[in-house]
Amino acid sequence: MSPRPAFPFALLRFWAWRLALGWCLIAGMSFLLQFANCAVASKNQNIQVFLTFVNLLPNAIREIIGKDALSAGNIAFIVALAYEHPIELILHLSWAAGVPTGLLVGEVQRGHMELILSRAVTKSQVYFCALLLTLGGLLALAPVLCGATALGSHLFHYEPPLPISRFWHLAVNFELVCCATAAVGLVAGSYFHRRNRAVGVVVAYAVVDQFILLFSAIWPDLKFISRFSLFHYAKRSEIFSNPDWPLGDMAILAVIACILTLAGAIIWNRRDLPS
Amino acid sequence: MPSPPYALEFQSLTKWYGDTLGVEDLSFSVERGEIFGFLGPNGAGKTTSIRCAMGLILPTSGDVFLLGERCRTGRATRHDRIGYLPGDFRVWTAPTARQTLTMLAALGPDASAANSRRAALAERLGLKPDRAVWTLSKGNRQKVGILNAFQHRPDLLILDEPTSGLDPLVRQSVWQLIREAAADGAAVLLSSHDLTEVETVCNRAAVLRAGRLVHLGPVSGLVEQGEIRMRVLFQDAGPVPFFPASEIPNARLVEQKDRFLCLAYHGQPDALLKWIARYPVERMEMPETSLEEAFARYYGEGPASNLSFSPEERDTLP
Repeated sequence: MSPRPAFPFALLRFWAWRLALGWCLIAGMSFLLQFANCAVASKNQNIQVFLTFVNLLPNAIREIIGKDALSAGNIAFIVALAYEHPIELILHLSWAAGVPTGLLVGEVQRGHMELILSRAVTKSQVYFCALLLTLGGLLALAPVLCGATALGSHLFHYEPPLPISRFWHLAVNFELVCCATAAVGLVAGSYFHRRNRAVGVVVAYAVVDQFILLFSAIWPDLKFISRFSLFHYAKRSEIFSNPDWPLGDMAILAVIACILTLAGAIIWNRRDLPS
Repeated sequence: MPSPPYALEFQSLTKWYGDTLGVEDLSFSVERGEIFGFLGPNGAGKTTSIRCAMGLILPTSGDVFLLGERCRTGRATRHDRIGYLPGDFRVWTAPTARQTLTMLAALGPDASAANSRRAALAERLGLKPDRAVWTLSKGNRQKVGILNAFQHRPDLLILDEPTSGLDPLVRQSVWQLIREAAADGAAVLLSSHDLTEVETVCNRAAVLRAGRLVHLGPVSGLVEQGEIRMRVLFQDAGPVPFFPASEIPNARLVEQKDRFLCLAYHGQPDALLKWIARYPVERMEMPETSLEEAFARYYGEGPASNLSFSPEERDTLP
């Protein structure tokens, strides 16, 4: 019997270096966005203008972004809105969709997977490397988001001070939502034979996820469908009203991510490479 | 522990892609120290067979044994002792050749030995490994692939079109590398369209057509089974005779020019010679039969079931 191949740290390192620039760009832009948001939100005048603008929005949109929690006295909640700012969502989605598909089907399509698998590396190990970098990269963005808010609250005057621990809870919870989306990327990257199709599926999933939230806000009769959206499990209002970790929601997101990841692993191991 | 009898063994390997046949009932083996040619036209099933052997695709039925161990798809069976060069060798373009090769060497045991061997190999092939891959020509990228296959001194080499895109001098160096590896005891499966390469380097060969094995045996036997060409120059005493194709079924007229006939035959030349002897002949030439000509016969249209094995091979078939 041939010995069980050692874990391919060389491949993990190689891929990590190749992804490092992209991650730094995403982290840098996220940091700047949150920091700038802290700067803007530290001025009462800006908050008043923002709340006036929010009041002009349709009820459904206000429902999605927090509705009653949006008040001049709830600055922390208003600052936290930027964690789900469209730019932030796009940055995170680009990682969640781009990395797993790039490392799996992308490497297959470019012919590199044949080279990797010709060495003493199993398909499961390759998948695990892609999994670690995808989910690890997203979870590593949580301290970046929270760090930007912490620095911003330190440099700009807030009265009362921002509850940084809640922001940490929110950041981790938000990254778990992204991890669950990235797990869809792992499944798509394992299944599809073309990368653009895999990316398309992840983006479509993320868009549908948002639309579910929107429809459930517009029509009260459809309120129940909100639970099918991943964002339903990252509720800002609950995180800011409760000092504890939102363990129930986190567990649901973690289970979804685990199931999808496992499904991706099974598909990856059963498919022919290269196709 | 006794070493396994064969370094590589295909046992009734069959692979269907849905309704499309990849390869069917393929059985042959490669011994240690042997250079084995693997021939066939495009779509014959060579790459499918190789990918099954490398555990990249799951066979529909049958087995492949690598260095005595049954190949399990996706489990890197004995890949620590296998050197592989894919037919369509593509590598990351941004890093240097050295970085890529170091990473690939590290995905196996004894990376430091591979690193030291790589420098000598790069020098032999004339590759500058510190250049980014995107700056390298097609031939130099192919050298990176050859280095990757040879750098860890494997016991089994699976090379798919190894000299594709290389200049004649480097081709010679690669052939020499292959011979040296075989002399050191490594088994080599050499898939190629380059018949000169197979004729020069290989001891035995298998020919695939439409997913089925149509020849298995020594390369010399393959050459013998090809058409033999004969050029006949008739004396100018009379008109050039009409070639009676129906009377001599194992021969055909290739070309006729003035007093000159170019004929080809397979099997016994008896009938053809008797016909030629009826006329005054000035000169006869028999150019050396090349593997190319033999190959054309196997590649030609017709049923793929006309298996031709040497007597020894027939005995070893399962």
